[in-house]
Amino acid sequence: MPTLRYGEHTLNVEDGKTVLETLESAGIDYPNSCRAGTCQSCMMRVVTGDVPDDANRGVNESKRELGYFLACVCRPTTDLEVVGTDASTSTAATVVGLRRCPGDVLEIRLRCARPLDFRGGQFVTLVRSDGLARPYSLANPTGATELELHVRHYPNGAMSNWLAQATPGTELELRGPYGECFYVADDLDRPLLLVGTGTGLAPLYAIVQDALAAGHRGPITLLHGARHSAALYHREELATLAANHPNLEVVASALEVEKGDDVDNTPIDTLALARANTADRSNLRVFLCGDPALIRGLRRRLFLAGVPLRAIAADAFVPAASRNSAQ
Amino acid sequence: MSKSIYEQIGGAPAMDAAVDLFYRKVLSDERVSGFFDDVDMERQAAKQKGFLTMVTGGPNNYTGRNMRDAHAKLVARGLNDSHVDAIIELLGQTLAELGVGEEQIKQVAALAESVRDDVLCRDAAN
Ligand SMILES: Cc1cc2nc3c(=O)[nH]c(=O)nc-3n(C[C@H](O)[C@H](O)[C@H](O)COP(=O)(O)OP(=O)(O)OC[C@H]3O[C@@H](n4cnc5c(N)ncnc54)[C@H](O)[C@@H]3O)c2cc1C
Ligand code: HEM
Repeated sequence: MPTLRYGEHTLNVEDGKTVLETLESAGIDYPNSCRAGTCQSCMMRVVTGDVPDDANRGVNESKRELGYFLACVCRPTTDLEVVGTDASTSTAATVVGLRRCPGDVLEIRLRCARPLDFRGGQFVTLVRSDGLARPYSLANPTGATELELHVRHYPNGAMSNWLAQATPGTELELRGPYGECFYVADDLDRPLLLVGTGTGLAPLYAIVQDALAAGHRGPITLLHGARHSAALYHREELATLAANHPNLEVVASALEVEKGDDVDNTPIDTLALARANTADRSNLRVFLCGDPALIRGLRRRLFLAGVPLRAIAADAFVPAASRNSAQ
Repeated sequence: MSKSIYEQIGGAPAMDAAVDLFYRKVLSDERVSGFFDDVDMERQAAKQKGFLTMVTGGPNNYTGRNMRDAHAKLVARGLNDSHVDAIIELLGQTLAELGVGEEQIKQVAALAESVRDDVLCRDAAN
């Protein structure tokens, strides 16, 4: 009889019983609704063991990679250790490097006390010793030992202004990783469209590097936008990547363009829709990161234009104060 | 026994495409789009999958009670018979595009009809 571990509980799974039923017979309530593998209310994540194939049907590719499955249709055949979707881990981290980039962007390097199991493009929550917490995306490829963050410096921003004054040795707590903005090597030939504004480039920079490292062959388009062209950062790094990889196209877009600068002044959402319309939309994979209003509008328009909903991953950089009401 | 319409349109593996088709229609239809304008599109899509699975006879354990709970907030925002009519119409268009025949679309519509009172949170037959 397989066993099921959940928190401090170790339960025996009776023949043919689901994870959800097993939890319930032990008196543990877990959210659920349809009880037929459809509504995804009872989503969980497997930490050790393998869930049967039909336990994650309908769960999107990114979640599947992270071990998510549906408790109501999961009939374990081997021992499993599972956690709820809100489970998170925490580790201490130290600032090891800081660099100022154009556009008031700080490139911050962190070293973790314990290796962090993350995918490039996911985000972590930085927690200061007094409890101030903000999410930031990981800009480095999967497997890197030092973490790279791109933080837009707001002079009146509680976290970003404090980070701007950090020095090597500054200590933080880090929670996560979270989110589904990362590369999945399920089809090396599918087209990828990555769209980011401002520091929305951070996760996209990681995703592009992961895709190229995986040997992605399909066309990759990265659109990076800012209000003013002088605020576009990491342009050299991106140009180098594009020069070395013929299937990568990088387009910079800004509403106001410095004279003589090679930047497109077409709005970035217009560029994105045009790219999507000429790509194989049914097979396109899209990543959208940065400005919340732009991301939401674009996700909806790309979906209505024929991109499957589950092929669009988005991280809206929602500011802290409005996060609860907006998300 | 004949195959359910759910199985005919391809069962679980075909559901995501069906949901995309249906969800595009409701978002583009001003009569009902306001009810579906969720910031969290994925969560909303999962609910629509529940809807399509249920009305096409796929595996589900929804009860009238669930239907009342799921729509109570919408009823408070003005959900009425005209919206149910519109949804049944868009559902028919979706199924037609998926190759489901007219006769069977009628069966699906009848199934949706059977929960109209629950969806609108009212007592039967008034
Ligand atoms: C999933 C996720 C990932 C994120 N990833 C990143 C990332 O990789 N890089 C990054 O720089 N940020 C990212 N953010 C945003 C980040 O979490 C903070 O909201 C941001 O750094 C501001 O925090 P703060 O404490 O400095 O400012 P706060 O103290 O929260 O805000 C104070 C003031 O700063 C100004 N301000 C803050 N945000 C904005 C804004 N968006 N536009 C204009 N003015 C603003 C306003 O004047 C505001 O009143 C992400 C957010 C989310 C939800
Ligand atoms: C015709 C009969 C209908 C049936 C059988 C039906 C069925 C369902 C089902 C099964 C769910 C998922 C519940 C869950 O898993 O939690 C759902 C959710 C929902 N339905 Fe319906 N529905 C009907 C009519 C309508 C109408 C007319 C509207 C609006 C115009 C509507 C809007 C919604 C919305 C917005 C949700 C998501 C609610 C939430 O956010 O929790 N439905 N419906």
